[in-house]
Amino acid sequence: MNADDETQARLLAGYLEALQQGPVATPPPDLDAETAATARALQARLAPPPPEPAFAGRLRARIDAEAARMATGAGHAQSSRTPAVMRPLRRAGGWWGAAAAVLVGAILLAAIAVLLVRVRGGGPAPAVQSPSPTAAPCTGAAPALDHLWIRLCPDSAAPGSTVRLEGFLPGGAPSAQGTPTAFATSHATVCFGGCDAGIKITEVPVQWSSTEPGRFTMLFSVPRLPWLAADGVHALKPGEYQLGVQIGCAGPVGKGCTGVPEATATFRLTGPTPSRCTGSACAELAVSPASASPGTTVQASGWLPLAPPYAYMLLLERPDGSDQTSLASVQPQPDGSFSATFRLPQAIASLGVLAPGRYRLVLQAGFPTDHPPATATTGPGGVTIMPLQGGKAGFVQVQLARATLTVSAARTWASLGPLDPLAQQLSGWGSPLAADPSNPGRLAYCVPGGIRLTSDGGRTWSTISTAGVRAVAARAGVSLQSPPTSGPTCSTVLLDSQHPGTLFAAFGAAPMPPVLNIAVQTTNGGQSWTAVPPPAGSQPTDFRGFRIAGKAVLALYASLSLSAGAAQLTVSRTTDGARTWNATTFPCPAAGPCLAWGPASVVTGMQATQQPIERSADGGQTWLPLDWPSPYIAKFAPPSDLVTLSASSVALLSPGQDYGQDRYPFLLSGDAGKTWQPIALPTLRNGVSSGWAFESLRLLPDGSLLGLSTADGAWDLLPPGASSWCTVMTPAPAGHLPESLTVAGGQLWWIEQSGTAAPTVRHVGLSALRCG
Amino acid sequence: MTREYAGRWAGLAATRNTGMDDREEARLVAAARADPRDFAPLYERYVGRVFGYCYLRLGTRADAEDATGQVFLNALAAIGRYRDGSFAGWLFRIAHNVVADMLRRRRPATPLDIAPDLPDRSLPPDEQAASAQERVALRQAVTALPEPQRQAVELHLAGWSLQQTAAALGKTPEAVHALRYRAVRQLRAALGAANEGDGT
Repeated sequence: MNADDETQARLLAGYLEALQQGPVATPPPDLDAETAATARALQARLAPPPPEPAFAGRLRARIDAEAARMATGAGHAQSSRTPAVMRPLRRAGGWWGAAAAVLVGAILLAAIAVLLVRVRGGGPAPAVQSPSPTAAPCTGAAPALDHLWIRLCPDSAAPGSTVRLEGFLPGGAPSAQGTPTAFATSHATVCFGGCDAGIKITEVPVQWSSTEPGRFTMLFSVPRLPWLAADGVHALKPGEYQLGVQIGCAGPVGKGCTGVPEATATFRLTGPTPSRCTGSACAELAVSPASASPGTTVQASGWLPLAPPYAYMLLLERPDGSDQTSLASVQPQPDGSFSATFRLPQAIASLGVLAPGRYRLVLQAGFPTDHPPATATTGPGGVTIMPLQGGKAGFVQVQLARATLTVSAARTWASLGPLDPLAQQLSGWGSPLAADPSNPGRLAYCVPGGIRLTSDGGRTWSTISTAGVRAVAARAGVSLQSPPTSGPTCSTVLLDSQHPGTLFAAFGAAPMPPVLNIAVQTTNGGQSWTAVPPPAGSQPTDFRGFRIAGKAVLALYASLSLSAGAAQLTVSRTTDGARTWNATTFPCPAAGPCLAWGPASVVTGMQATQQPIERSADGGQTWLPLDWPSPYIAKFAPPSDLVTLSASSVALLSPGQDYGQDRYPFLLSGDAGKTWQPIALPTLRNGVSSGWAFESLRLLPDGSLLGLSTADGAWDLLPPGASSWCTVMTPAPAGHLPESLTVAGGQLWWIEQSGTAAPTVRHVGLSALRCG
Repeated sequence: MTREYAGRWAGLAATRNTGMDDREEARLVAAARADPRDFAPLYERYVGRVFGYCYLRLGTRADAEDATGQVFLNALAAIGRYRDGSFAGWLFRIAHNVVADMLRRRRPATPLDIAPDLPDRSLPPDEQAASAQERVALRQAVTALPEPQRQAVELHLAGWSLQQTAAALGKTPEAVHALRYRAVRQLRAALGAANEGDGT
């Protein structure tokens, strides 16, 4: 650009920023008038609407629920909550307390923090429990009620003692009932040894006086442990400590809680001195088992000093410290002990596929600091303090302890020998491409406004109109997602092998979210459609997919539930081509272990949920979801495949793009799903991912594994016993994404769609899918 | 040498955000990484921007909500593995992938440039029609922009700041200035041509 253009670009940038704030912004005088008009029109005509508050709220609820599930399940260490006073800012509202306390001077943010603390306070156990009220009230005249002050009673005590903190907050007047106002929170923070580097005792309950507005009382326990700060471990020693409080950060007299207390008092710590971390290591880390293969549950335990705002993490790194990645978070007990478990991943961000060998497990904390060291140093307590890129980030990592963890080799694909897939079960709602299991020449797939059907292996196709489905849906009180111009388009189609004139299909119901489908049927080749009758007590939109069970077709129903896998499943069954439906129980598969996908979880607002694999030990009378594996199932992710191999063996294939989650693309169980073992697959190809991200993954009838790489779209085959993949098909043209892979009649079929064109079906002979 | 933490925090330190400074965003991310239950502040901070981008790309509120949910669930699931670069850039990449995935898989296809526009009922009928026509024309013109220009414009419309857009696109703020400027000039030219062709 020339100088004039650069000037115009800068002026336009300023005007665009102003337009973001409001449509009445005045353009800079020197900005070209037509450019300004175009920018204004752009903003006025195309600026998207904000998300609906109801949607944003539902999504927020879903995020919170999912986060809670993650925190207590795989992926994060499970350790008991820290119940007492010395816990760092970890629990409900804790972060916001920290944000208000340490981070910014924004009073507004602190106000939000106060509100969020209240909102979130109803979830997990409170961060800090009030110690037993044994401290006697303060005696003597209180200071004047004209400024913020605190006093301690007693002001000298031993570690672990209960201390009463009394104070006054101007403007913190509660209501007549003694409930907090917007400027006087129900919980506050007590800082021991400073609010910047000291221990923060968060969410200490505040008792407001009902007779003297602004007067408050708090009880807290004196730390009994050394604490960890950005500059190392500080052992507790007798002497004077600053005792601070942050209580009115959002109020008219609050100071914003920018890492400093609003009021302070001096506290004298008396003996005895805590024994830990005096002349010995200030942290311990043990790992059991010390040698494990991927998929094994590993326990890390030990002891550590307590830290203010940031929690502890377990990291895995190469022995030379060259690459590392986080495994789990750690939550210590009040006495500093901790116990955390994690499942050793098969591949993990940064380290990639974990090759067998020795790794280091590192217990680490991170701290904000304005004065990071220039290089790694050993701080008090023998901990290693590591700056970040010259300390510019204002943050340090403190490595507390290390342990050796040996990763042993996972069983390899080559060692498995030939596999004999007997049956497959796909996760999710169903497939828009279906084959007749009794007549592989009959196939059907969904297109806009119809279902394409062939009875001669794809030589000729006819189209069944789905136009009548809209009226069927309307009679059921449901409108369809499909736009009026294109006609209803099914999301799932199923052929009845016993009744050629009968087809089943599912259609997406509007509005979205939630993602719902309704089930319909035709018994006359599509001339007319009717709704599949839901079981008593279920709604049409409770439909959760079709299943084939021998000669019967099953329709699954489960009510909408915010708890994945918790929905009550009801099953309808037809054996006469959809003329009659009867309630039944969910049966075990005809062959192999009694394992099946549970109902696809539908959560208001979203579609990405866990669909559990369920197991029955009593022939299908009762089902329980497996704790693990529970592959990540999303509406738009490719389905996982549960493949029956024998009476007791089953494989789980989990393709899908990797956004950094731990993935086990191929798991094998030899004991009917009780235990699972990751199988090591060879690296796909040089320069193509790490062999973990597959768009599709199928076990072919001859036992070969077929993978479609997300990296370049090529098809690769891993024959039985092979130690490397071979490319059997070149990538489809850009935008042609093969999906819904289906094996029928010696052919591999798939749907392909490009841009706005209607989807088409392609196929290739399985005999052509061979290496070399 | 790849140090996950070092890269992550250094990258976060380079992020500039409106309303909250770098360190705060770094701390929000650190808190969420340490415990996913602390992810919500990041969600609150970005949900409008992500929704806006998804809406512009997908064309309907339903799809945008669908995609927005997917984006944040993916981000939540991956937050513990978040490595380096700016958070805004990382989140944008997830959003971009989710949107691309939906566009590939959506059936029936409803391309953005022919998606129906709801009339502005606050305007008289004739102005409603003119407004809708201009909106469609603008949308088509934006869709026809080279991808980097289109992304720079759409992120702006979705409320992403200059710095967030730069981080998302892996460019300098100056380069984003230039992209937006070229885009607006091209839109101006395209709309002018369209108006002439229409005889308006």
